[in-house]
Amino acid sequence: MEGFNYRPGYCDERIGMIKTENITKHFNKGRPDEVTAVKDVSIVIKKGDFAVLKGPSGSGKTSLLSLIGCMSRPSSGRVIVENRDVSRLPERFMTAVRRNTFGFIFQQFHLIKGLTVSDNVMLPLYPTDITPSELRKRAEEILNTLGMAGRKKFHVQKLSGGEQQRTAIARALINNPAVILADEPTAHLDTHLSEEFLSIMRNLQQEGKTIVIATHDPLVYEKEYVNLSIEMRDGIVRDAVRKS
Amino acid sequence: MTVLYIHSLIVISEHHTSRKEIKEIAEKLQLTDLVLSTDARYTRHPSQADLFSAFQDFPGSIEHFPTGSIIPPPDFSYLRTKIKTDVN
Amino acid sequence: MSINKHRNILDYTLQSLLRRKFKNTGIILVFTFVIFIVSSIILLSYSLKKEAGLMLKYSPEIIVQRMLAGRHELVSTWIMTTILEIPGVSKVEPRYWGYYYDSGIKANYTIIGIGDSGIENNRLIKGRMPSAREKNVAAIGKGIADARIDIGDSLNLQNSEGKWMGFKIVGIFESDSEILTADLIVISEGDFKMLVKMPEDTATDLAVYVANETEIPTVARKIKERFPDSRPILRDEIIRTYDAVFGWRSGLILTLFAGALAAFIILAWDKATGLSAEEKQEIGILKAIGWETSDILEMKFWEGLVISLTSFMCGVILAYLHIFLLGASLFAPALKGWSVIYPDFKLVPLIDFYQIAILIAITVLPYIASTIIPSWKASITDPDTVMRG
Repeated sequence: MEGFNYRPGYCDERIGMIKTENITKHFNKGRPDEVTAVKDVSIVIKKGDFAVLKGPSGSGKTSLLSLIGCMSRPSSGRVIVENRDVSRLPERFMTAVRRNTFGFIFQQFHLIKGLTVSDNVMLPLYPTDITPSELRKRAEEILNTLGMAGRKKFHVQKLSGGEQQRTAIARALINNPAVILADEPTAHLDTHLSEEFLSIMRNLQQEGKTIVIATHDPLVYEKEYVNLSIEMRDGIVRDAVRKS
Repeated sequence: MTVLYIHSLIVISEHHTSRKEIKEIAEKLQLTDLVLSTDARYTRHPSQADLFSAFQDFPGSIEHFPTGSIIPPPDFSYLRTKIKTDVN
Repeated sequence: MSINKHRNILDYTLQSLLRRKFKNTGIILVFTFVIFIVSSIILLSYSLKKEAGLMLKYSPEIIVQRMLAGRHELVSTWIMTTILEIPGVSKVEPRYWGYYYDSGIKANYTIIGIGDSGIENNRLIKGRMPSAREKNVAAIGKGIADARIDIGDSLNLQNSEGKWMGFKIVGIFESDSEILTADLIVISEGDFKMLVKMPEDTATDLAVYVANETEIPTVARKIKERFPDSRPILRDEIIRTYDAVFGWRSGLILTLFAGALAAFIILAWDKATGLSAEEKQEIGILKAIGWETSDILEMKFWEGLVISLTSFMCGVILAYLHIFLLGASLFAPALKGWSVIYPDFKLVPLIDFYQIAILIAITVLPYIASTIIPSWKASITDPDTVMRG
């Protein structure tokens, strides 16, 4: 099972590429409030990339991130993850790809209130064969590396913004995904915490993970280690620059 | 629930021992009804109740004993009294 | 099928229930109450029905009453000889019994006049029974003893001429027999006839004994043919009367059951009509982080099961304690009516497991369904859509 033998530094070698081919996403199709969030987008993200989807609010970058992360299906076009078209997979297989390949950090964090830090982090692996003790051990390891070990028994609603984000990062890492997707991660953070976040992402990239961040924060997309910059406006890719 | 189940078995087994005594009382005193209520005679002895007593105030009188709403009259269908009519 | 996965999901479900402590406690309380009422009814009615069946099978095979204009009249004892001649009849005995209203405590008693009862050394009788030729002695039910007197005391009854007759109490029926004897006053036959001024050669009704059970209906028919103004009451009919009292069509049971069912339907409907925004979002998050639809539905299944099973067990346990340890005290006012003498229901815990199983089927299963079904739509939708709301 993917990520079963988690060790810091290990990365799933099989994920080489995420590709989208002419994907389009409509919301509320056929209704007066119909919106086309993503129009005919074709991009390629390689293994180990530190990619940024940049653009103003409403440009479609969050929707594109969802499509890449198998959180929604494109209205047309294909999403290919390591040579496999995932966009038309039955729901069960799509969930498996999502669980095994991607770690998602949401803009609102979406932590479950009332649960502790530790419980939130373990959540993605609950419906797997892993024993509770192994799960707890794994969660502790990750929380240690993120400096959150001391807060593991705290309920998440009692945490600061930065601590909540680190919990969200830990949750995204528990299944040892090959790809980390983050949606506007610095939106609620000050500069110091934003730098901290980016430093964590950089470390993960250096361990072999692929990082994709949707943001309109120049603090993020102007970093020198960002090697793929995709600019979006009105659902269309205006520009895609890959640094060699 | 296990405790209650064991309790029920104990009570039932004790009841069996007093069953013989109750049997004697019911048989020798020729009793036909349980003491469910003692307010009206047709609810005290529902199996012996006649057609009359529930309506003793006047024909079609309304039930005024509370237990009359709960304890129904016996089934009189076995009386099999017939009405014969001659149609010319 | 791994046990760890199910254990983990169950663990999450329990945490989830604790997170919404107040709401879930409220649901459990209402659900438990509904089950409590319905199980109490089931336990009470079945136990009483069984008791009636067990005790009343020792009644005489046929009771013969005389009717006049639909009213029960005294029967002439001279017809006993004729009835005895009917093939199959082994014995005919007159019964002397009636009612006595005690205006002092506003209670009704049942008075029975007996010959030689033949009851000796019965553990359910403290003291003894009056004998056939004894005058002015009585055995009384516990209900009367509690209300009035003890052994050695005197009970005074007014006869139909207005004269007071004193009866020394020689026996009291113990509480274990209360369901049959609570309001009885047993005196000798002679005393009874004097008390009510019963005309010679009459009795309240006749007890007819038939040796062969299969011949009972035939004997009853013959009695009716020979004495058209008689009303033979068969023992089967007596037992069926009580089946009706405790059956599902009886007033008490229908009323209580309907009320409880209505409460339950409201509860289940409220659940089934949809998830809160918070619950929907939680499902979306779980889907987004890698839970499958089946995992979410399993979680909802556990949620429904834990709540409904907990409520069910609490309700049934409370019902058991209510009926068999507290003597159905909550229902007593309904059953009692205006009765002053009322037995302490010391019911035997005879339980109809079939009815309990039906109760599970109509409460626990629909509740689980009403928990799972609203989650279905949210759990099959793409997480992105669910989280956007």
